[in-house]
Amino acid sequence: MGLFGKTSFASIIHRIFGKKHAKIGIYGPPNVGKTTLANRILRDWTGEIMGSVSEIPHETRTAKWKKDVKIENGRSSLFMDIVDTPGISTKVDYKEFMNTYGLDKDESKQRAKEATEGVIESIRWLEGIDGVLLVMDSTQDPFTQVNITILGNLEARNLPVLIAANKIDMEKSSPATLKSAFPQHPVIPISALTGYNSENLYSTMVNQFSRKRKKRGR
Amino acid sequence: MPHQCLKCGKIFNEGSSTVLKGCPSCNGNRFFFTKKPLEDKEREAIYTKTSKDINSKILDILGIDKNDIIDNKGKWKTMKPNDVRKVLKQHLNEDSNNKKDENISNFENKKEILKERIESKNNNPETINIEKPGKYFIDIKGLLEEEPIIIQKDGTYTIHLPSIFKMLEKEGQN
Repeated sequence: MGLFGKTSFASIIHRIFGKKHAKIGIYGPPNVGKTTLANRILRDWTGEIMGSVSEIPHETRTAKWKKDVKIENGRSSLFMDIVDTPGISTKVDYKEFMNTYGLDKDESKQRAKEATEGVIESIRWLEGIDGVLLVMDSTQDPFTQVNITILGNLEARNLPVLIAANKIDMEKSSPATLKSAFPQHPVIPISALTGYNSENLYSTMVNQFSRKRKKRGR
Repeated sequence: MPHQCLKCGKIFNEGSSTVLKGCPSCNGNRFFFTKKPLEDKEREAIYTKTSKDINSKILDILGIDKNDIIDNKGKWKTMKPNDVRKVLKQHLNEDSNNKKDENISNFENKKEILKERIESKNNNPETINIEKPGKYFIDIKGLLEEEPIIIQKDGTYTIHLPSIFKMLEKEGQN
């Protein structure tokens, strides 16, 4: 037994089964359904919810997280800390909140300021994250500055990425466009609102995020 | 068999229309649903309990004075929506005169705080502030410290994402 002391035995187990705990960030532009998806995941696996959702963009302006969410896929399972982040955008216009969504001027300006701080906070959270669930709106053109910039940076950090092509319950949605736009990453079409195809998302999450993270090359 | 008239003890089949019309022999209109016929004593006890006037029973349960809800003809007082509003208003005024003031001042406070926070020059996320075309405030210290490039003009923010990623990388290295 000398060869297999307590610690080395544990490390062998760890090596065989890989990393079973991962901190997953839900990222994406505003209003693509990040919090709706976070709520869906938590409701399916813990029965709780992450935060409030709204049709007004930038509803989530500070990151929220939930620890130790166990997601199962047949025999294998993975404990995840799920981080729901504010939407990342290149422009926050308070007039949009005022004119399109009817908030008053002060409220809109404050929302714009908080949303801008939220963008910085989102990116700060990348430090210490093991994998990213990148949410995109499958009814929108995927080739935006935000999507390309985020993906480029995630790839530079060697973070495992899973793209959730959300809102496929909408008529205009085209998840195939997303698939062909980003062939280097798994793309799962889902509807966070109705839960459609969430099983597929969960099994891909367990597979994708259980993999040992490659050494970060900067 | 299961319906028994509480007044005279006569028994009727389950679902018999007698329960709707009233007992044909004694005109009783209270029936007890039971498998076995009740003993006379038991039946009488329930009868006296249930034969109490329904109005007084409700008054008993609510624990209020009869004159409050029943007029002198023995009928329920009726209220129009306006009356309800009046009573509620009166009730609110009596109860939470102080609270109401507090709420209003809270609301005004909130507005003030909001305004202050928008106008405050500290802790703003932007590094470049366009007051009007041609007039700029540039946070040189922030930019030198590699804070992200964020341009603010009249409450609208333009964010240079690569500069935020760059800031993060620099922080990670330190």
